[in-house]
Amino acid sequence: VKQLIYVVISLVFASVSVYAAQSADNSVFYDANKEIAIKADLFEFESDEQRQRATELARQLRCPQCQNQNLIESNSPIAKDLRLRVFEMMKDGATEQEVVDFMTKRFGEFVLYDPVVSPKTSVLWFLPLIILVFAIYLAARTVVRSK
Amino acid sequence: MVGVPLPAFNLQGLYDESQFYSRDDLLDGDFMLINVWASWCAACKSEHGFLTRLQHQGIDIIGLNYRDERKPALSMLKDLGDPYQAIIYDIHGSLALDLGVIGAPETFLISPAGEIVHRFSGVLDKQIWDKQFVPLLVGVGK
Repeated sequence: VKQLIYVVISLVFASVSVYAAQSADNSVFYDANKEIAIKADLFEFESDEQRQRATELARQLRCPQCQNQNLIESNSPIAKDLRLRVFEMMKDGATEQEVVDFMTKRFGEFVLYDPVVSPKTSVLWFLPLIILVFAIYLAARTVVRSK
Repeated sequence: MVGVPLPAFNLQGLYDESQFYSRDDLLDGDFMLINVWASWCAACKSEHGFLTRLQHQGIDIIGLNYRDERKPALSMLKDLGDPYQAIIYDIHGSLALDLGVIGAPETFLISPAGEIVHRFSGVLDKQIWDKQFVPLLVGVGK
């Protein structure tokens, strides 16, 4: 009986997935971005050194649509577009700072894994340090008291 | 991308493949909205009714059809109506990339001089319109 139940369950599962595959409306999810993805994957740099620099830079930029993936890791269309844009800019002789400026102007400092130190980001940079100092103070006080 | 001029572009229209829109074609010396939408975007559908209301109030709205396909995009407009004065067909998201769009819907307010004066990411409704957009329109009699 058990075996029969397994067979029935797997049959139901198989038919449901076949049905789902057939009824999926491909037109909605057609990947118009394919060309760009291929272009980015097959991008020809002038030198290996340039490729390395561009890839390294793209790795340091966060995909604006994703939670925490960089432009190289993410497969989202926007990451692929931006990856290609970074490669093109580097090939055209843009400096790393110019690429970073291009990205932050559009998508904000969210794309930077290492945000610049400014009044806006000071909490981000200095709070851990303050907490550390405070923790050392508390620990020291406890030790002194217990003596 | 707020406080800078609307970037230049030259893209096909959604209705007519042979028609191309550029920045200068669309700027008409009045405030206008650029609304980023797509047929695959469910939130855009819920925003559509409010856009139609804005259109009736005389607000110029340019549609930026984002990474979409013609067929489903046109059928969505057939079902829900078309609140747009013109629709740019941005299949590869190139203008969207220049605008820093991270998803749909997004709405940009463009000044008569062609400058981006406000950007809103999410579903536009009356509350947000009154709070974030209307104060920026004051002084032009709209």
